[in-house]
Amino acid sequence: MSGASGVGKTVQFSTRRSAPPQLAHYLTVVQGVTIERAVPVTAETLILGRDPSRAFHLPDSDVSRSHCEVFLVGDDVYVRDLGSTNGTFVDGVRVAQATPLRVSSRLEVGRHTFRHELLSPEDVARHQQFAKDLELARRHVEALLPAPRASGPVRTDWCFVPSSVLGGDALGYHDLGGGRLALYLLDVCGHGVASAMYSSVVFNAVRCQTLPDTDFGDPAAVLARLNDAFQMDAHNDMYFSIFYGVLDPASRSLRYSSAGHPPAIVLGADGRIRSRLVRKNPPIGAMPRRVFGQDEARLEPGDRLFVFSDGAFEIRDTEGRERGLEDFERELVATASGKLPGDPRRVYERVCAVTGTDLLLDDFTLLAVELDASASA
Amino acid sequence: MDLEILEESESLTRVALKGRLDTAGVDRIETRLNAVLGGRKHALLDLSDVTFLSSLGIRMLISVAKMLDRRGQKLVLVAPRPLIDQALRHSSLDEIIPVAADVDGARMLLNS
Repeated sequence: MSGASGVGKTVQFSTRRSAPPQLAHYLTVVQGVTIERAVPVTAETLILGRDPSRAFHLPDSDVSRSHCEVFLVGDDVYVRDLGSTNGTFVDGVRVAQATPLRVSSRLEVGRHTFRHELLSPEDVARHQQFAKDLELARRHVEALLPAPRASGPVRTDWCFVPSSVLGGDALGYHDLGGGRLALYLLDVCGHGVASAMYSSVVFNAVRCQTLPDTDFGDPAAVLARLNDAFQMDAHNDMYFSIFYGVLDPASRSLRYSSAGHPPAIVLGADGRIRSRLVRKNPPIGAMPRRVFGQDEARLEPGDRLFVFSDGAFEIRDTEGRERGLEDFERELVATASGKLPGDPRRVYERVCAVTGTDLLLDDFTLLAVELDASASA
Repeated sequence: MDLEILEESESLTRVALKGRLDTAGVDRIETRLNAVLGGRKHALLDLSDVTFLSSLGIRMLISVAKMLDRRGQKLVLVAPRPLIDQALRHSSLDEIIPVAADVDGARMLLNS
């Protein structure tokens, strides 16, 4: 349309969906392990698959090794399934033959969702800037985590691998005086930026002991104060689960409480599970309540305490079978016979091997704690 | 993820959820579920065909329970599979939302 009509206001509408020269076709990640990433669709066929050598590698156990291909014909993007087990879906419809993937259409592959978008170089730069920002935020979260303690009366080690650059998990420990150690692991529902921000806020309240009128040596009191401070209604409908313990090396006692959190596990020196520590309380924020319960356990010489979030065991194996806590306990016990009993990194690798991927879809957070054998009782 | 209304009476709505209640599953059904359970009625949520329950799924269930509670209505979860039942117990959701093995058990919980 030109301005030749003589009308002062001219509004231009275009129903054409082809790319003007400065725009290019991209697959943007709507959901999956890599958030807000944009991958260009060019004349060269883009193969999506679980095989790390694929052009677009998706670490997702529901994705086949070579799952589907995306390619450009003229100015149109097509997708074709490559005989995948779980199928390729365009806007919710399963496709096999080459199928047009129109602009704004959604492509679903396993547990990943993409959108076909036309992006300008400025858009792509924004995507890259956002990815950079996320990376900085990830480093900030990791900088808050305490260093493993390789010596001293209490030894600690941990493995923390967020699922999608930023996770909702956090773990920490700090000295309370009198030789006692507070240790905690929390899991904000969901993952991604919002969960990570919330997780940092909660984590700092515990780490820096800034909750009002709280005895941080009293696990039940800490949970009650957290529940007062972080009700869902006031926090974007988000809740979190937490395990909080206070370990006293002198008496070998662990006072602990948990809220909506899976059990912590104590592995004995013989490599067997000695106990599962769980105190049932609702997740933090789910309902107003002033009273939380707590329990006490004893760590014997050679015992190792493992605290983790559900991302460690709510996984799907290569056969598509959902796994549970019992399977995770088996993996944990299996690593106990090695040189480093229950080395968190090795447990993580074993869990990854079960899923057949090198990155999990939920945060993996595992804290291992043990007392020095010479600690008195 | 899918949603099916199994029963609609004057006092309750019984809905079945089917599939994985992960991030994508919740995205797909949350608005519809809230609309379906929008009346002044109790709700029975049949979970027998739910194969996975993520933390965002749990968040959705808590939100539904709170929404119903504000209207003086109850939510009961019905017939979860063993792994879903485990997830409900680990998250202590069963402390906030009652869980029944079957529909008859759920009706009894509503009347108690």
